[in-house]
Amino acid sequence: MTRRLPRATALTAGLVALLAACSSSLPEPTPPPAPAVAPAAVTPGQSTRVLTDLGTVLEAADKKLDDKLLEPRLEQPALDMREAEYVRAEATDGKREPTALPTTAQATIVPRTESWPRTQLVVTDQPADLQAQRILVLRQDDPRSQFKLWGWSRLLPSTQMPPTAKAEIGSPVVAPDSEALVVSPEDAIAQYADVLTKDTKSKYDDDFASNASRDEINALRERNEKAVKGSGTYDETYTADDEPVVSLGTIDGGAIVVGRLTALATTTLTLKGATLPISDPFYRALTGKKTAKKSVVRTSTDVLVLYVPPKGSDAPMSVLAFESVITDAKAS
Amino acid sequence: MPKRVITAAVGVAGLVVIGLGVASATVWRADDVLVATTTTTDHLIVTDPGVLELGGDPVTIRATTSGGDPVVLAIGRDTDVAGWVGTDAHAQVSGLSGWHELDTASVAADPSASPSASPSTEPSASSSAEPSASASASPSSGSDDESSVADPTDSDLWVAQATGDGSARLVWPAQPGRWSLLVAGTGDSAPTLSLSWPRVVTTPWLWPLVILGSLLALAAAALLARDWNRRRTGTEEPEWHPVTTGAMSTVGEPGTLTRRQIREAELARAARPRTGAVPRVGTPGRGTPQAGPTHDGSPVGSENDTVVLRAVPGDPAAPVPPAASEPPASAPVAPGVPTRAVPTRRALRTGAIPVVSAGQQPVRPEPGAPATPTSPASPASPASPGAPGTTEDDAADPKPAWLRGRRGAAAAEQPAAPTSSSGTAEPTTPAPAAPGEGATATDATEAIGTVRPRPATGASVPPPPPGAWVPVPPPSSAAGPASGPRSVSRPAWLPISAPGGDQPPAAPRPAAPGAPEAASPEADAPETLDPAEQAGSRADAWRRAWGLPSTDEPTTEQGEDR
Repeated sequence: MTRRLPRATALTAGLVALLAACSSSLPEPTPPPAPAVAPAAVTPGQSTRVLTDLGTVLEAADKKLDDKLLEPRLEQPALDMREAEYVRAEATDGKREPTALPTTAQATIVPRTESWPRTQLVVTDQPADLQAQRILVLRQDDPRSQFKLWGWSRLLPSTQMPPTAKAEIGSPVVAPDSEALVVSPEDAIAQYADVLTKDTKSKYDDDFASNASRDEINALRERNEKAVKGSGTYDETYTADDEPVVSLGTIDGGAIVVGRLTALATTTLTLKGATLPISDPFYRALTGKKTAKKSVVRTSTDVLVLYVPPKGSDAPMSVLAFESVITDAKAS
Repeated sequence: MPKRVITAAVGVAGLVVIGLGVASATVWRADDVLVATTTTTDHLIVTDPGVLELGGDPVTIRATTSGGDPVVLAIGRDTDVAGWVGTDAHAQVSGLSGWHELDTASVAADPSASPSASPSTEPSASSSAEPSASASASPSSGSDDESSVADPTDSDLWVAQATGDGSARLVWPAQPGRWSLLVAGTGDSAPTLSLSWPRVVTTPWLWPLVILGSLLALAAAALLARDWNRRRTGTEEPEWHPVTTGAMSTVGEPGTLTRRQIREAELARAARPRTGAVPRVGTPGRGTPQAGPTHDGSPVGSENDTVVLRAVPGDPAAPVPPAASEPPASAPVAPGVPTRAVPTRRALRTGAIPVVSAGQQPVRPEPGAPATPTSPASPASPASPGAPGTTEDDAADPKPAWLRGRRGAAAAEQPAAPTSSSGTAEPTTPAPAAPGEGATATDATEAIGTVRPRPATGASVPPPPPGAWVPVPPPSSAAGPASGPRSVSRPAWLPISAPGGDQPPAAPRPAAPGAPEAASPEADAPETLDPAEQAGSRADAWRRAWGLPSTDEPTTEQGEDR
C-alpha cells in the first residue's frame, strides 16, 4: 500500500492535469501598459463632479452663512476667506454678500500627476452680477481627501489666459524651484509680494507688468496713508507663503503660478490721545471693538495667480488674477 | 454472437457519443457567466488593472458582507486606488487562480507609514488663525483604528462606485485605461468579492459528436435489424454471396457471327472432307487415317500398297470371304459396310479401299504379298497418276478416285463399277491385270462417259440405286456391260464395284437392287448431296446470314451422316 499510494497520487495528479489541459486556459488580465507620462489627474467628469459638489456646499453654507458647512469642500485659506465673508455678511445684515463663486467651469487646467497633492485650476463662467471671472483653486492634499477649494481669485480685467493644454491631457506640474522659467515659481510669488510691498521701490518692479489690482492696491494704500496722516502711520506688507500652491505649465513653456500672500495693513496711531473709530461693522465684528486706541492690524489673505514666462522670454511676468479678502482685524 | 455483441457495442458507443455531444452543450457547457469570487479577512480588496476586463466586457461586481455591514465598491485609476489604499492592509487580486476563484494575495499594512498626515497639516499650518478647523476637515484620513477601514465613499478619485449594506453591486463597462477596483468593508466584516463576466460560450462539439454518434447508432441499428431479419426469415447465414464477374465470354454464338464468318465457316465445312461418319465405322475409320498417308505418300504405286495395307486393317477376312464366296451376297454385305464407312468422299475413298480390300483380299491372299497387287496396280497406276493429276476425267481412273473430290469419288466409283464387276466376276487373279487395263483405256473413257452421264443416266440406268454413291453400280452397270470384260480383270482391287456395279451387268442385277437398296438410302443422299449439297449449304449459309430459318437440315444431316 505504501508503494501504491504515491502511484495513485501521481495518477490522480496526472488526471487532474489532463483535465486541466483539456479546459481552455484561464483568462488573464491584460491591462494596457502604464502610460509613460502621468495622465491628467482628474477627468473632466471628476472635475465637474467636484465643482458640482462644491457648488452645493457653497450654496448651502452661503444660505446659512455657516462656515461649518464649508468644511467638506473648502480648506485653508479659502475656509478662512469664506468665513470672514460670512462674518462680514452677518455684520452687514447681508448687504455685503460673500463673494459669488460660480461653480461652472469655462476652462479647467488639470495637472498631470499621479501623486498628491493635486491642484487644478478652474476658470469659471462669469458670475451673474457680471463681475470678473473667478479662478477656483481646487486642491486634493492626499488620496483620501477630497478636492477642496483652496482659494479663489478674480481674473483681472482684460486679461488673457495663456493657452494651456486640454483638461483631458493635463498640464505639466512645474516644480516650485523650476529653472525652466525666467523666475522660479516660488521666487516669482515672493518678488511680487515685494513689489506690492515696496511698490516702485522694489527692484522687481520692472519684472511685472502693471495691472489693475496693483493700481487698486496702491490707490487704497495712498488713501489710507492720507487718512492717518498726522496722527499715525499706515503700513502695508505683503508676504508670500512658503511656496506656491501650484505651478502648471502652459503651452508656451511658461507656467501659471498660484500663490498666496498675506497682507498686513497696520495702522498705528502715533498721536497721543487720538483714537481710531471703527465704523465698519465688518471690522467691528472682526475686532469686537468700536474704536482702536493704538493700532489696527488688518490681515488680508490674497490669492495671486501669476503667469511666469519661460526662460529666455522677454515678456514680463504678469498677474492674471488677484483676490484679497480681509480675513482678520485686530484693534488695540 | 460476437458479431452481434460488437454491433450492439457500436450502437451503445454511438449513443454515448451523442450523449457526450449533448452534454458538452448542456451539462458541461461553460457557464454563460464566468463568476469568480474571493473571500478574505482584509477589509480592503484591490484588483490589479486589467482584472476587471479579463473575463468579458461588462463586468458585474458584487460584494457582500455578513451582517449587513456597509460595503463600498469603487473603481478608479489604478494609481488613484493604490494611492488611496496607501499602506493599509488589503487583499490584492491579481487575476484568476481557477475558473471560479480570484487569485488573491494579502498585503500587510505598513506600520511605518502614516499616509495623509503630513500633507494635510501643511495648508492648515499656514492658516495661523484656526488650526482646529482643518483637523476635522479630513474625516477619512488620519486616526482610523485597525479594525475599521476608512470609507472611500464619494471620493473624487472614483469614476464609479456603489455602496450598500450587506451587499453592493456595480456594473462596469470596459473603458480604455487602467482601472482598479476597491472594495471596502467599512463595517466589522470583511467583504466577499465576486466578479462575473458574460462569456461567449461556444459548443463546438455538439453537432460533430451528435452526428458521429447518430451514424454509429444508425449503423448498428441497421446491422442489428438485418441480423434480426435474417434470423426471422431463417436465412441466418447468407447462402450466396454476390460475386461480380465479368461478362461471360460467348464464343461461337451464332448470333455473334458475322455473315462472312458464317459463310466462310460454311465454305470451310463444305470444302473440308467430311469425316463425321468415319468414326462410326470401326474398321474403315481405322483405315481412313492410313489411307490418308497413303494418298499423300504415293499416289500411284502406293495405291495398291495402301489398298493392301488398308485391307489388312480393314476387314480382311470378313469382306473377303463374302466377296469371294458370294459376289451377289457379298455385294450387299460389302456395300453395307462400305456405305456406312464411306459416307463422305473420303470415306468413299477409304471405304472404297476396304471394300476394295475386301475384294482384293482374296487377291492378296492369293498373290500373297502386297507386291502382287502392286504389280497389277502399277500398270494402272501409271495411267491413273497422270490422269488424276490432270483432270477429273483422268480421275476416272481408280487411283484418281481416291485423290479427292466427289468427282474423284465418282471416278473411283466408276472404276469401281468395273471392278465390282470384276470383283464379282473374278476376284482372283485377273484383278491385277484388269485394273491396269480397265483403268487405263476403257475405264477412263467409260468413266468419263459414265461420270457425266451418271447424273443423267444414273437414274435411268440403275433403277434401284438411283442416287447412291452406288451410282457406281449404274455406271458400273452401264460400264458393266461395256467394261464387263475389263471389269473382270480389274475388279480385284476395286471395292465398291462389288456391290452395285458387279451385279448389274450380270445376273446380279436382281441382286444389285438388293445391294443398292441397302445402300441406296444412304447412298441416295450422297448422290444428291454432291451437287445439291453445295447449293444447299450455300443456301443455308445465305439463310443464316439473313436470319432465315434453314430448311436444309435434312441435307446437312445427310451430309453429316455421310
